[in-house]
Amino acid sequence: MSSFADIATQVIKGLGGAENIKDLEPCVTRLRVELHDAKKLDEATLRSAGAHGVMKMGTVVQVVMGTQSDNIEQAMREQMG
Amino acid sequence: MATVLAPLAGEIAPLDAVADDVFAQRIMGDGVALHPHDARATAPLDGVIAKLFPGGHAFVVQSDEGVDVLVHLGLDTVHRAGAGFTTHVEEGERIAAGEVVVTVDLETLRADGVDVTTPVVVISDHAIAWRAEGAVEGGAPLLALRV
Repeated sequence: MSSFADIATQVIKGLGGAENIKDLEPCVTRLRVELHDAKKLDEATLRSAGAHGVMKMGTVVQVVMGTQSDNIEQAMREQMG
Repeated sequence: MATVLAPLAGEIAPLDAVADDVFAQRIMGDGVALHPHDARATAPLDGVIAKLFPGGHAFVVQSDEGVDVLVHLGLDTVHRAGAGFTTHVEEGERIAAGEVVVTVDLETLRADGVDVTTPVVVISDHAIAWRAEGAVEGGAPLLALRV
């Protein structure tokens, strides 16, 4: 199994890179992310990182990572600086 | 078979009716929603508190057989930052079915306009062989799973 850090790296990539992430919020089952540019979203990369689903509403995207979402969010923050 | 007990007394509704696509589309797994009457959320099965989310608005109990059940107390309740929820156990603790995990201040949540619909979801992919319908008492059988 991949570490949270590995998953976080992949998720950040799938979201179009750290600079594309405007806001990040963990929920029980998902990451809610606000993007600067929704076109940079790469759903295939997110799915390969383990996303059960990806839901888009304009620039807000919900990446369903399961109940480890909060751990992944923490690892993402560490990498995003 | 494993039996999942109702963590709260309430009216049972299908997940499809939940105003949150992650639950309604069963992305996390199959289950039911409860419209709670009761303020005490109890463990739906014997096991370990595998997850107790900060603030206590959701928890996962994992049985020794590897069944994981998520109880999400209200929708979008992550934004409550714990207001209206009192936790009675710690993550990692062993718990028996029917023991209180979180007390919910339903009146306050409702007064604040929170949708208190509580999805109870089997997130370990075990198939549901039977589900209760109508109203259920807290601690009464809610789901039967093929294990």
